[in-house]
Amino acid sequence: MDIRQATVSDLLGMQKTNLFNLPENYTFKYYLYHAMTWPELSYVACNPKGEVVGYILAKMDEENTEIPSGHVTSISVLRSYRRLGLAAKLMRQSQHAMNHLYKAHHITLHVRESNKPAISLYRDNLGFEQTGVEKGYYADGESAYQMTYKFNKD
Amino acid sequence: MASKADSAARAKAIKDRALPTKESGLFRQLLQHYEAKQHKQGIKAADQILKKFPNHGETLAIKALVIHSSLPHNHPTATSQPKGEEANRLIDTALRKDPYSHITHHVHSIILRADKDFAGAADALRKAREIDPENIPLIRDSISLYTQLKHYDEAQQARIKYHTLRPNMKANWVTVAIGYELCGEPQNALNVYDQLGKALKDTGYDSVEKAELCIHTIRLMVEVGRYPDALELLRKSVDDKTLPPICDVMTLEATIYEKLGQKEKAEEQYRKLIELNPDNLSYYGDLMFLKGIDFDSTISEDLLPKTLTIMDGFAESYPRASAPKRLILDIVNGDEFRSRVKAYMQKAFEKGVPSLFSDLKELCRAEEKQKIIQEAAEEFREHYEAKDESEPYSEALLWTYYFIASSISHRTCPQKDYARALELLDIAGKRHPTVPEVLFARGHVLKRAGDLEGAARALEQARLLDKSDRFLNGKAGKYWLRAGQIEKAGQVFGLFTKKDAPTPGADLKDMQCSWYLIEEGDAYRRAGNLPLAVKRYEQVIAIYQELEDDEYDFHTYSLRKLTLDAYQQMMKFDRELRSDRWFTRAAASACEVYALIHDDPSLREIRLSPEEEAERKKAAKKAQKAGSKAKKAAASAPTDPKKEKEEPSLPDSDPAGADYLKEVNPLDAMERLVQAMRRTPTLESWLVEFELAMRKKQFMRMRLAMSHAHDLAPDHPKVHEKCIALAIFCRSEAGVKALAEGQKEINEVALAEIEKFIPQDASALRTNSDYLQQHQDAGHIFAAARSLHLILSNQLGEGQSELSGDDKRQVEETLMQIVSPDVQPDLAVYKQALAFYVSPLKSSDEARSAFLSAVRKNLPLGFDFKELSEIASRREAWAKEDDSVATNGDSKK
Repeated sequence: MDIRQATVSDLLGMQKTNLFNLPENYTFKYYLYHAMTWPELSYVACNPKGEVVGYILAKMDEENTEIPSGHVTSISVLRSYRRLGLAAKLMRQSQHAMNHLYKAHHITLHVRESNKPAISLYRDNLGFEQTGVEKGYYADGESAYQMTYKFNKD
Repeated sequence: MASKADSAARAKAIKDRALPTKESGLFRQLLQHYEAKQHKQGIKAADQILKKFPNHGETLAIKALVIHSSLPHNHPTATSQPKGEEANRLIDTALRKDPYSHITHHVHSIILRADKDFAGAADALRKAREIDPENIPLIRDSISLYTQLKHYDEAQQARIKYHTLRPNMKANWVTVAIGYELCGEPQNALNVYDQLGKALKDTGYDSVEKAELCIHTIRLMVEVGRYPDALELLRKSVDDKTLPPICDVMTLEATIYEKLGQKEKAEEQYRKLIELNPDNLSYYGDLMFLKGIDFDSTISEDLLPKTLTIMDGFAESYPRASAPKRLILDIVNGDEFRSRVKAYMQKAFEKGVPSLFSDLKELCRAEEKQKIIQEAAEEFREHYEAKDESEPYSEALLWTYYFIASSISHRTCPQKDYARALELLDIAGKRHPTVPEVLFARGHVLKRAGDLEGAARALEQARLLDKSDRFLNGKAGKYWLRAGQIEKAGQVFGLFTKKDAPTPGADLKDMQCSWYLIEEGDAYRRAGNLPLAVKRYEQVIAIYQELEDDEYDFHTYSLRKLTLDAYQQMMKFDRELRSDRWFTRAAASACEVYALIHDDPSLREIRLSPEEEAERKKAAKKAQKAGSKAKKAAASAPTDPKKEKEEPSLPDSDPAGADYLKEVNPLDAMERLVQAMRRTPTLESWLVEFELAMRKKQFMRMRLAMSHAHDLAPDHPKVHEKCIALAIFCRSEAGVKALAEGQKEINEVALAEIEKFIPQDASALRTNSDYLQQHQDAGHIFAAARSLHLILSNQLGEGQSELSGDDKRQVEETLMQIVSPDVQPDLAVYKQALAFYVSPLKSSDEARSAFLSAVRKNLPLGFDFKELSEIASRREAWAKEDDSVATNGDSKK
């Protein structure tokens, strides 16, 4: 599978993949807003036919601008393309741009507390730590773990 | 020149516009309230002025604006609808009372723009600017509007005007530069960026903005071929840390070195890029291209060892990356391919990678590789079967079965074996009853074997194994739609859609889920419900309008953020938007239905049996009740401003699409869609345009459409069919008349061109039979059969409405070739051909049965083609099976 930076032409494929995978969905304008604000932070994984099968949609935190920090809005890989390590590869690319272009200090993301495979991916493979719980974060009432990755910056 | 009466009216309006001190104070307040979004106070101030000066146009206009801006976007609600109407009435009055004020026209423009009528808004703004040409807000608004409408030259005039009036604003430099780019004048754009770049230090831009601007300037330099300048700017900016080491920068650097012939330095950049992202396919291809090795063509024997050495080096350096290993598989053949693909497959089987087949299936297009992959898979199967029961190999065996089942049922397989695929999956399923993929693959196989209902059942079972997985849910819903069970599909989708949405479909529509809308539209169409089919297709078309409208805000936003590369990507996206596959599918399908109802207006309404009619009435009553309940709820919703946002939108007044399809002018609707598709012409768009032109009897347009279609795909079944149709039209009375009406010169050119691809009158039959001889797959044969029918029907004498028995037999003989054993089965063509026997061919039952029994022989698992009684008894058996599973489940408790 090909891993590359997302362009505006990939956004519909990302939106379609998101709708197939997750219950948290967004209208196109929100994807466009990401692409037009932080074009370097979103990546896609494509199959040999060129279809998007995985994506990371990421941004910089706009509220706390004193310490620049990245935030993963959404990341997912189609079930039929799992066990290839695509999510980790997508995350690493986004991390690189957050670090070098935006000088991010750390990255945050939310994950369903029941999503064991994702939590283990973030913690064991990607070096995230659990830094908080947000009660009832999701529309169905489930709570989210907030997870944080710290860049080595002295 | 303005007439005397006009100038008198103008003078009077200007005089009437002046307000006394108190009222002009109120007017200023009114504007402030609008800016601060204080709607209530704004309306109060406006009303105070209007009490004394009821004809004051500008006050009327601003009042309209205040009301309009307080309304919720997109969805009208019970309270907002009348308010919207009031705002529209007010602005109409304002324009009548004071058409000489730039304010009334500007407000009119803002209101139209908020309603997404960008063309109307631009017209209103032009009027405003005629009155006040140097007004900055008017100029600013017009830049975005003209850009949204793709009137780039007009936008550029406004950009330059703005810049002239405010030369010191750096933001205006960027707007002028981007304007040049949009007008196709990159050199002029660069001149502006160059100046801006020199002034970068004191622009006040932050580091990210500087980097964005710098990257965009370099990219533009590369585009116009100024490589040394591009390199100089890039090196300098990397050195002074304006540009960070991110992939955009490194890719640009590599490209520039390549263009300058400095291959080693280019290679160095590609190696850095690969180190950063070893899973990117294009980096490898670009690097090898530097070395005279083109991955897109066959690599000669003498270059092969060198290629392998380099790629193997990467594979070794980046063991976790699959790209270098996978790319080699495209290049090598024979034994080299065999050993490498085996290693690749083994790793995937033992890791349990479900996507292995979709990863390798492009390779299967080559017969030799297909065979090697097939053999390798069987070897692995035997190998793992021998080791069975020990844990790690049991998993590997599962994925090997999964792989073989997928590959021997896929269209790239010359000897498809659906029965064996199912057998292997059965074994896998017994050993791994909780792995949804096994059932998932079973569904795929059944679908390909012609059993949509069985496929849906398998996907449903897969879904039940992991109810928290939306992917399995969505696929199951899709298969239920394919199997025609629309209600069941809705229930399945509903498990993951928002609970407060009126229906699951409404949520998916709001989330712009095009594939779902098209699938459901297709399901309705197969069920004979054309109104709802068209409704779903038109919803997709509306989504694409929304996507285009979404771009509006970014014409200013991106320039402020200086994300200029991304902005150019957006403009490219816009140019290609209407050739997106989902849009094309929706538009082409809608046009097919419009053509149907044009040809047979009785199809505008659904034809139902009495039982269905009773069912429909019951459902309609229920829907009406629900609708009026929703309306009531909407009307009685609290008007508390805090809760105003939650007010439900008004229910759809035509949920079944029946009113729309009854009223619509099908040719106008087709024209609208053809115009949209033509923005990026494709084969599909030309074919649809032909169908429209034929119905409008526009000969020149038919010719042009086919000429383009023929250039793109001369052998395509639809192109062949329509070429024949065009030939026949030329000879028909209407065609001859159209030709006679055209200018002589044009006709000669046209006819000469047509001869290239349309047969002479006398040889239409021959051309068709030649075509039939040259093509041996189901789609082409069917096109030849349909064309034959068309040719023969046009030879009918007066008073004859049906083909003679002999003629029919000719067509039927051609149709039978579709099911001959040496032609690959094609489910879609089978279904269309079966329908074709009934209408328009009106064949005997025997003729159709002969075709059907051949289909059944070709597809022994094809339940889609079985007798209704057989289908019914299988459903009964399933119901019993499900009951017993349910009872067993209960007894376990």
